[in-house]
Amino acid sequence: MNALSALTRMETTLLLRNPNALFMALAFPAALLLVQGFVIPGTREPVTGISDPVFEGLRVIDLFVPIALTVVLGSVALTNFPSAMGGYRELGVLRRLGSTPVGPHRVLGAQLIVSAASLLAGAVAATGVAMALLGAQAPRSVPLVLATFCLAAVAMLSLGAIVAARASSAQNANGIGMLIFIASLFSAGVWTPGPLMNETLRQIAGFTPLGAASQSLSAAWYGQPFPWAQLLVLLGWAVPCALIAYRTFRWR
Amino acid sequence: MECMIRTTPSHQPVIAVRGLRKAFGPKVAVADVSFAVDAGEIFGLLGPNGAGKTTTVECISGMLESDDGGISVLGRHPSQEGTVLRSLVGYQMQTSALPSTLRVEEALRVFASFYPKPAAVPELLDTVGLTHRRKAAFSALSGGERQRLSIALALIGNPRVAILDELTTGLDPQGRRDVWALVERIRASGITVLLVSHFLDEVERLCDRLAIIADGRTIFDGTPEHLIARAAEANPEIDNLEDAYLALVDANQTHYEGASA
Repeated sequence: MNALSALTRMETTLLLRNPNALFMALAFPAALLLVQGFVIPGTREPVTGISDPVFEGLRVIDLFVPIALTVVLGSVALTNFPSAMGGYRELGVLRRLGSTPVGPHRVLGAQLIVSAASLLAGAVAATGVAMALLGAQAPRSVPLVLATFCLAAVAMLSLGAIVAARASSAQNANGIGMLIFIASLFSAGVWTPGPLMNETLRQIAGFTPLGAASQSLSAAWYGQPFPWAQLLVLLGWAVPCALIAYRTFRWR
Repeated sequence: MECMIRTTPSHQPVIAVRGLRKAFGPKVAVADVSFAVDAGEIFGLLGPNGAGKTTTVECISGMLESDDGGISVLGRHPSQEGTVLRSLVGYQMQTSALPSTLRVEEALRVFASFYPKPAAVPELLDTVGLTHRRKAAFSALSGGERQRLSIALALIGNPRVAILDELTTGLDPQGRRDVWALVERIRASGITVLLVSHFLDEVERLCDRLAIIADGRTIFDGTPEHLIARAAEANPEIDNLEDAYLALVDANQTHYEGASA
């Protein structure tokens, strides 16, 4: 077994032994959808005040389904992933690995593979709950939603990788990650879904990674025109963030 | 600017350090350290806390880049051929840990995947006496078991050189003796050992030769017998390694303070 496979297998095993990380990746976004659908009043009423015909006949909770996918992206990429790496650095695990021939690209790579897998699992769980229990609509174009989700995952994991590359401890990484995550949730439309957002705010949010992810996922899900601008924004975050993370990675 | 040490192939030390200097900002951790380790020996690196021992071995292992001086390990330069050297040098660190839920055998198998010709995991578990604990999580290991696992991780790549840093700190007397026996077995298998320690009984028991570092400088390089003889020249009552070591470090401190005044 090569080093990347062995590290990936180890990270998977460790994730399965960590109930907190499992909850944040797999259950939190689905639970959030259920709370919004069953506890918050009015979310199962039809949407009003949107002129775009693609949203005609949809309920408020339907608008939250693509947003739940961005919650999956944020919780894994900005909290689980950086916390794991910060914890390794704090304990000296990274320093120990740094004394072996394995390079930072394999250590980061294994974390990224496991994070990407848990992102997909969390997204499937949230979508399944939304469709089975809340009667949410299936996406108009599954391939486009998948492609958009993958690009958004790359952008968010690259952003999380900067925190992971530098944070000195799990607590430090979690603090920084949560701060970015909570700010990002606003731009993603967790409190006011994108289609209901003020136009100026919506445009500003479209330049943030989770805002662009949310808007492009909504467009792909409900069959709006192809979201080129948001996809370019995601690329614009992914490439420099990944480079910065790789260049600034520290073992200790 | 680093310079390569040029040595003849017929008498090339396994580790050669000459005029090593390393600073962290304004703090000079290592000012001028030199020593050479020959093949197959156990070489002790001693010194008071903060003397620069760990910084020196981190430069040797390629984890830190020196500011000046020359280092050669197995004829290679650590900062230029770090990846190759890390396959040939096993490093047991003074302080390092593993994820708390990772099990002993899992850790060894992961580390084995980093090397081109790793040791067999079952045999290595047997060598370090952890076969019965192979399913135990890292968090469930005692201090001695963690130390033995740490040594096993340093040996998993079948290294030609093992750097063992403060390997018996925190162990009870029986644990220390077990680890000493393990180090002797490592040497018997042909691996050159650089042993970083501040326990004189450990050095006396294990080391063929030693270097003492104080205030970031080498103040002695030779055999334990040579150290005792040198100290006895100044004070004939000195007849053991511990007294000789303390006399040398005290004399260096007095000299250093006198020079600073």
